[in-house]
Amino acid sequence: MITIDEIVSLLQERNFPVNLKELRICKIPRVKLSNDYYLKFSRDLVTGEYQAYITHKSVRQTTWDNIDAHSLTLALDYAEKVAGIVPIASIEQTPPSVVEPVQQAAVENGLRERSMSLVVTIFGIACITLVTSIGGIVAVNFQSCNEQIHSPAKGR
Amino acid sequence: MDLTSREYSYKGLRFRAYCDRQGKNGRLVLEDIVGILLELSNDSRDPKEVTLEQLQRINVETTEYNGNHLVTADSMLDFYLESDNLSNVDSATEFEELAELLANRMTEILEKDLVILGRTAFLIPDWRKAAIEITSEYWNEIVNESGKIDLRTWLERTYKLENVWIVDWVVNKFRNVISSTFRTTSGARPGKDNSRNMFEPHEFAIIEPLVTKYLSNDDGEWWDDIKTKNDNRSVFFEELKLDIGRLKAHGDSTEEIIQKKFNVNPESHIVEKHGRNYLYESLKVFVHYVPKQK
Repeated sequence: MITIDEIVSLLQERNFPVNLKELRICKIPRVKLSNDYYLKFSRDLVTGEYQAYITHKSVRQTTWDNIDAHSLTLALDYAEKVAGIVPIASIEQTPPSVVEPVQQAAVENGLRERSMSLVVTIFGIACITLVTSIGGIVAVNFQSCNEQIHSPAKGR
Repeated sequence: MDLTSREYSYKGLRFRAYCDRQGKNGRLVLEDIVGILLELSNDSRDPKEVTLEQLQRINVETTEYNGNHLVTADSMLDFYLESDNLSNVDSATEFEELAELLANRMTEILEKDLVILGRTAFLIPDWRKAAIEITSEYWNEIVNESGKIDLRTWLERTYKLENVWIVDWVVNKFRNVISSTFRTTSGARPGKDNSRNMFEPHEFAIIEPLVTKYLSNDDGEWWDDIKTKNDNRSVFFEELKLDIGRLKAHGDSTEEIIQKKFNVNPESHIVEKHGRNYLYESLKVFVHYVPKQK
């Protein structure tokens, strides 16, 4: 019988992103697909068997009962190739311990937008400084060249 | 849009789901879930205001209805997972418990169009589980000629309540529950044998979750009932309590008293599938409330 760990491992091998925060809290994986589709799993209370299914706005579309590694692979093939509802590659693939503190802090402090504009401003200043510096260097070089050209004449 | 609502609860805190007349398009009320999170965190803010604040930073699709925001199971989870700022450290476990409830049972109710059944839908998976377990247990048995047993026999066997008055108390508690639930769900009266209602073993599945919860004393009701029963003034109970009181005065421990008086000990009546000894636990509570003889 397949386990949650094996399901998650298979999903990650196939680049279906699993939200690890969600897995930790809800104890069951859920994969966000394109166009509001989800690939989800549920467990039979009695047998412990897992079911994989695709939903769209809380309506079950396609279901695979009593999944094992092979049928889950077919389900992932179906999602990718037949239904064309590919997983949304996202930040969720990175472990939450790395992502969450940064994201959370930004959200909590409402800094996300401000930090973006700060980055843009810094980038702009850097560009201007760079252009100015290059311009200065070029100007100095031109001046030096001129001086080098004229100096001998002066010297003469 | 014309919808009807059904109520559910988590630890006594209510939340609602809506569906249409055909029982389809099940949606949860976002404000109710936020209300539960605030309640668990002892946060007195208005759930409606907090929901609006949360929605400004969490991008989920909602439908406004009767001043509330309704969401699909998936949108609810997307919203919930970003709402851990409403959970404090003390309620972190409850935050995960509620998440599991929403991700599993409530999601199933919404996706299988079961909202229209209300709280009954909550019980269906438990009934199915109990019916399968009971059927397996009685699979190779001929219970009696009619293939039916009474409540007392089922309780004694399932919970190993091999004590006349303990099982009497539980029978009295659930006799009417099983009969009325059976009539409601099957549309028929239970058969009788010498005035006792008889049921096929799997039919006890409709009360099994209730009985297990009661005997497990999850909400303290069973032990409260034992305490009340302890005041019984019948000759039998007065003599029994005198005996127990004398043993207490003699210095016998509770475990020794239960062994001497009832031939029960912590290992003797364990119900394997629950890992509980309901009989010993019940007797322990009973003995505890008997005063020591002076």
